[in-house]
Amino acid sequence: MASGPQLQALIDKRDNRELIRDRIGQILKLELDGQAQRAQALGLNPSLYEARVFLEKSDAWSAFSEVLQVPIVNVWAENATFERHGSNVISRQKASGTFHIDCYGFGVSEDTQLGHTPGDQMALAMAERTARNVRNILMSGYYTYLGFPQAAYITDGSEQIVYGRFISSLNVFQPGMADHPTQRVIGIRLDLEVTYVETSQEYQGVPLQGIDLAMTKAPTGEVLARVSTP
Amino acid sequence: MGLMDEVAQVLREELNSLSGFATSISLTPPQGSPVALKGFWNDIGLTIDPETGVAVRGRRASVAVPIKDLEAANLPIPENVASNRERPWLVTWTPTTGQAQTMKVVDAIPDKLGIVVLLLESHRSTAWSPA
Repeated sequence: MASGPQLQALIDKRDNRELIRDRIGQILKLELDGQAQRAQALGLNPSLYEARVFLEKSDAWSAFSEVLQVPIVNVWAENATFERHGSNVISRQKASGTFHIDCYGFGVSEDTQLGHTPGDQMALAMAERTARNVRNILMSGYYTYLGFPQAAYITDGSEQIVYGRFISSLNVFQPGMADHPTQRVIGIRLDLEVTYVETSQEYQGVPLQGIDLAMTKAPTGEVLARVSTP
Repeated sequence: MGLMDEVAQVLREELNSLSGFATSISLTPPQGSPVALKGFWNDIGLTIDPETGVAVRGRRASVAVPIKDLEAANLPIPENVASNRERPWLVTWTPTTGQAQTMKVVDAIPDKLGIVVLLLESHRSTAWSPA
């Protein structure tokens, strides 16, 4: 093995997996706020679309408070599987990543005119509403490539990052039977599978010798070549 | 009076001893006025994950009152009310932090020594609306 480091440039860019995770969070926050504004403009309740969006939070539900009762969305990258077909051993790897989008609803029992609304019922309604909004946003045609440009529109020579996305499953967290917390929290997880590529530094070849080659054709039709070296 | 009867009597006295660990508790049935009782209260911010034994964040609250005191007030043992068309059983007391809190009864665990533990969850007496 050659002595000394071989990479010619500093690794100063984030992997596309990280960019995709952050982009999912940005999309959700942007569109949920947009939906709330639309609802308000239509004279509807904007709180039905509001949510707080977190990235990679280990205990998202701890952000709940009985005062700030807003749904919570937590986006985190669970795993990535690299596929040999569509990849090369030089610089490009095709990957399929799974991103968890956990939607938490928080419910506090409260009095109503007719009786009361149980906390678990409120929590479920909030979680379902949030999961519905998230699914509609991410599976919208506007976000087929999660806002990343397609190859046909890339002019700077960089690679297309995302080739597709698909929500593959939805699961509801059921609380334990023996669990009696004072605050009701119900979670719904959507799994988003994203097909994307990761790139790495290509080997930069070193010119060994320059060769100038001029090709011409004689009047007789014979192909002639003139080779010159510096 | 047998020893078990004496134990039950002592328990009731302890749950009514305001100079001890007992506190004043107000129990409001779904249909009716609040009833003044005394008992123990418990409100902690941690619990133990049964699978790992690790302390995790999770508020647990409960009160314990003598069953005979409920009977003296003509009240049944409280229970969880799941219907939207009924008011729940509510418990109000002031913990050592000094601010009164009202919570909803979600489960009742009576025992044969005459004590019922009421498991509680957060409750808002007025409907919340977004700011």
